[in-house]
Formats: sequence, C-alpha cells, structure tokens
Amino acid sequence: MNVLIVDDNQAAADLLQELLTLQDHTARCTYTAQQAMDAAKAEHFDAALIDLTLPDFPGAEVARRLRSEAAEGAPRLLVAISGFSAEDAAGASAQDLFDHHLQKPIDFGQLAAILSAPQ
Amino acid sequence: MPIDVESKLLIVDDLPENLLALEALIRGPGRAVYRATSAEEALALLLDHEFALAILDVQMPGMNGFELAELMRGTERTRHIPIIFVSAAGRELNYAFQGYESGAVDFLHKPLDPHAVTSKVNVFVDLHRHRKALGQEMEKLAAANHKQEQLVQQLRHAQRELERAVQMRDDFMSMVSHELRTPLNTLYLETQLRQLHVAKGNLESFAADRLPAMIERDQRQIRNMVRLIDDMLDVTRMRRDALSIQPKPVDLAALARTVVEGLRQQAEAAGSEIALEAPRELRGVWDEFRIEQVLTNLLTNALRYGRGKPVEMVLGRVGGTAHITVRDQGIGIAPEDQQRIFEQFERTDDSRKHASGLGLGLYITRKIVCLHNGRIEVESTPGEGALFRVELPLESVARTAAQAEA
Repeated sequence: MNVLIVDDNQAAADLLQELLTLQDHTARCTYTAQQAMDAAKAEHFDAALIDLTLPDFPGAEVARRLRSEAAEGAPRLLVAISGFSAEDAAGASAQDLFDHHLQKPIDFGQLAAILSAPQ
Repeated sequence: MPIDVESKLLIVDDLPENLLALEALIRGPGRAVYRATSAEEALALLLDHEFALAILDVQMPGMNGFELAELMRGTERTRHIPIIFVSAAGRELNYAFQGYESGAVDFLHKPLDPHAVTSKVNVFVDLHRHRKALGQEMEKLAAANHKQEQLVQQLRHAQRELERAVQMRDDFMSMVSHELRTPLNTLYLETQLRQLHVAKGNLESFAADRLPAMIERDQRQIRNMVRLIDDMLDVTRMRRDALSIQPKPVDLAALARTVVEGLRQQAEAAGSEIALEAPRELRGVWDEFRIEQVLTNLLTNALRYGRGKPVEMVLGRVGGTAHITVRDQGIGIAPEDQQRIFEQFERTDDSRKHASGLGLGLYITRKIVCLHNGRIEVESTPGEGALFRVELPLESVARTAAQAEA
C-alpha cells in the first residue's frame, strides 16, 4: 500500500513512515497541508494519515481537498490522527470526512489492522 | 401593628386660655401637643415638626385659620395634615372652605363639646398612627425585598463564576491531555518501532553508533512532557497563590551561560543559535530555579518563533537593577496581541501555526518576574521578530502571588 503521512510533528511522521516501511508498505512523509496536497497531485496514494492540527490549514480541509483534487482518485482510506478523541475533535475533523480516527498515542497494531482490512 | 408611634398635635388659637383648655382635652399617652398663639407661630412649628393633626381657630387677628390652612395646603410638606377648624360663628362659614372637602377637614364649634373633641381627635390620631405603622412596615418589606434581590444577584454571580471556573478547568484538562499526547505519541511510536525491529531480528538498528541519537530523541520527548506537567502545576499553584520564591544569592551571568548551553541542541534543531552577551559576573538575590525558568521560557519562545534566525540574549546591570533582553528575528507579535500573550492560555493564531503548547510560558514568566518585584515588556514588529525585556531588582523582596497580581 502507498501511504501518505501528514503531521507537523516531524519525528512522529518519520517514525510512522519507518514503521509502515517495515510492514512492507511504502510511505511518503509530509509536514504541512500544502506539502501533502502537492504530493497527492504527483502520485496516487491508497491511504492517507492526516494529523488534524496542521500549521497551514486544518487536517479536515486536507481530507476534503484530497477527495476532490487528488490525482488518479482520492486515497481509499482517510485516517484522522489527533491528540483529541474522535468525540472531542468532532467539530474540527468533520468525522464523516474520515474513515477512521486514531487518537495519539497511536497504537501501530490498530493502524496496521485498519490498513490491511479488506475493502 | 406597633403602637410606638408618637403623634404630634398642633393647636392654634390667639387666646392662651383656649389653648390650655383644648390641650387638657386632647393630651394623652403617645401624643405631644404643640401650641401656637398665631398663624405665624404655627407656620414656624410646621417647618420643624411632622404633625398628625392641626386644630385651627378660625378667627384670629392677622392671618386667620382659613388663610393658614390655605398656606398649609400649598406646601407639599404640610398638604396632607388633617385640619379641624374651631369656629364660634356657626355653620355659615362652612362654604368658605369648600375646596378642601376632599382633604381631611372637620369642624368644631364653640363652645366646645369635650366628647366631640376627644372622639374627633382620636379618629385622626388613630388614622395617623396606622398610616405611620403601615409606612414603616412597607419600608421594612421594601428593605427585605432589596436585600433578597441583592442576595439573588450575588448567588447568580457566584454561579456564573463557578460555571466559568469549571469550564476553564475542563478546557485546561482537555488541553493538557492533548498536549501531553504529542510527545507521548512520538515516544510510543519509537518503542513500537524498536519492538518490530526486535521481532524481525534487525539488531543493526541498535548498533552502538545509533544509540546516542536514539536516547536524545527519547529524552527530548520526556523533557517536553515534564515541562508541560511543571507548567500545569505552576499555574495551579499561582491560582492558589501558593507559588513562592526563595531568594538566595545568584550569579545571573553564570546561570544564563548554563541555560544557553542546555539549549544548544534545541537551537541546532531549530536551525538557529543563541548568542549570549553577559558580564563576567552579575550577582543578585533571586530564586535561582525560577529565574532559570524565565530565561528558558524566553529563549525557548525565541527559538520556536524565531524562524531559524539567530537569537540574542543580553545581560547587563543599570544601577540596582539587572536587565535581561532576549531578541529574535522571527514572526513577531501583532500590536493587538502584545498584552494578551502574558495571560494564561492566550496564544496568537500565528504562534499556534508554529508550535504546540498550552499558552502558559509567558504567563508563568511574568508571574515570576512580578514575584521578584521586576517587570517584563515586549517590543515587536510583526515579521521582524520580538524583543523581550526583563528588569529585576538586584535585591528583591519575596512577595506572594496575590501581591504580584495587584
């Protein structure tokens, strides 16, 4: 699976990339919403892990734009990542934009299960 | 109804013997009788006393009884005093006072019938006493109502304050846990990565040359969490006015060198460096731990919002005051935000974009400076950086947080 990661916490983004690579996925790290959009226009991703609080614009907005602007179709899976629970982040994340919500700290087993679940 | 109301009675007659006879008829407990031998004298008494009843002889030399009554009716203060006219001339004079029928007016004729006099006077005195007593009851009731209203207001106010405090505490808890989850996330991902490496037998990930960087990464996250928890506890203490400072002799220059050295790696990570300009020694009496917090907070902010440009800290002494300035060339602070940033939980929109945090650093910093009888101010042009200036008296007297607030 080709996974797009966007998180302004670079260490966390890099670690997710490394973890995904170890699980035989390919992953691309971006640290701002703009970088994520640029990456999505350049290549196709099967899934996107999106931090809800990004420096340039909200993660929910990234999800909305990915659905409409991504090259060769939007990623099949959009996963929100946030320090808030899904309930608390509801306003910011516009839950229906995402297929899943993961609260930090992220359990990688849970993420791996989401990515490997049948379509 | 209480009966301790004194009723003052005014009797006016030009003949003193008539006054004496009348007074003998009407005096009694709870009554004070005032005598006047002319209308002028009566007017003087009317200015000084509040009468329950006036008994006026109609025929007097000078101003007669009717004329006096006219004057009384013309003045707010005396308008409502009931009047009994005493006339010798019989009922043909009644017509002259028609205009006053609506008021309490009555007539007695000479020679006076003692029974008629006492019963009429009793009626008016009772009326007066009841009216007075009622008035007092009304006043008490109004006062009680007013007090109750005030109490309700106070309760409402207290309720609003409580609701606000609870809301603030909830927001605070939510914010703290959110902020803690960020370093916790990085740390947790690290351990999960290592676990995966171990499971796959990738032991080269743990090679000796990789360990120092690994340890440094972990420590950075742990320091972040410790700082968040410390800030949170400091704010809680400040709210309870329980934050105290313990001043002891300190060399500020040496302290600054230690702080700058401690932040060297963080500065490198931000692509910046901190230049320190300080005298060899700058001695004063402060709480070393708290002043270290001030220096760390100001420098950390400068690194976070300094866009990777050099940060400069200058220490100096002017008279009995130590001056500390921290200058960055970063995003700066808009004029309208320059006071707000010292309040708790206040963050500018710009600062949120550049770094996460609780919005407590500058609040704590200012509190500590104030506890040392010092002051802090900021100068900034957005886009060109910020300059924070701290002045600390060399010998500060310890104050409580409550005093510092004032």
